[in-house]
Amino acid sequence: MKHVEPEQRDLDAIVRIVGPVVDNAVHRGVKPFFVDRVMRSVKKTRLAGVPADEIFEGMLGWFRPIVVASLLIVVGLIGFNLRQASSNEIAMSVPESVFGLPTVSVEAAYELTGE
Amino acid sequence: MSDTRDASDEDLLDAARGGDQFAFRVLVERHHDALARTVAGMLGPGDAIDDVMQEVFVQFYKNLAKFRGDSSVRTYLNRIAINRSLDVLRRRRRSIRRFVGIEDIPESETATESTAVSSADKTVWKALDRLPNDQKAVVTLRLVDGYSTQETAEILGVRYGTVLSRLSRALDKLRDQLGPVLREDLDQ
Repeated sequence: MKHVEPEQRDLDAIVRIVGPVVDNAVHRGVKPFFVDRVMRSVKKTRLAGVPADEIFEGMLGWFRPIVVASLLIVVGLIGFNLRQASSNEIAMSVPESVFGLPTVSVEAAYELTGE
Repeated sequence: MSDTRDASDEDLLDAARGGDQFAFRVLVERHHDALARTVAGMLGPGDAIDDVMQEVFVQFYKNLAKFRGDSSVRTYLNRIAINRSLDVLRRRRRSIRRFVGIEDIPESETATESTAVSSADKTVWKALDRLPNDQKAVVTLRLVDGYSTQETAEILGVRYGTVLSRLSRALDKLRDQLGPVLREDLDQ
């Protein structure tokens, strides 16, 4: 008769006991038409996911040149403002020069004509 | 169509990546039984088995492009299944702690009370429930799914020796918990 170690004997017994119990749980736990339900979920995922990705990709394509053009315009305006500020005789701070802000005195602010 | 059913997992993967829904369906049909055992072993009886399995296959579908085939499809699915099941077990434990307090966690966290389960089955589920999650994962993969120690280590991302020590500790506990059921089996 073949000698079996007690450890191995217990292990085999546990496998024999646990296996059918798990199978019972599978039998009760997995509802009918499992594969069909998975495929429906997958279809929903596909329908929800792919066009959104495509729209995102398309928007990136559109926005890239717009971002580049906007940056060029901003840099141009800053250059223009700095040149204007340097030709002015009135002392202006750096933000005023960069953003082209007019120097406003208290007297001018109260002037109703806006001149 | 019969060609697709006979195709290898690798061929089916390629076809599914190319948008072939039927190829993906065949993969689901081929692997869902084995996967159900993994998830059931981890979670115990209840509706969560079906929910988690669905999540696993949907995640697999989303990851088709990323799956490089370093492991077999079954191993990959099992890895997702174990991780998803561990998430569910953590959530269950958190909600039980929230309501009954850390010291009073009941013997069975699974749905054994709500579903028609025999008393012998309940004994087994209670024994499995008492295992820490890492030991439960090893028991499920090694004893329920029949993976080798090396394969179990790869799926769980741990060392070979770690699997052996977790299995040994789990077996000690199961021997204690399953005492009468085990003796009955050995007497037969």
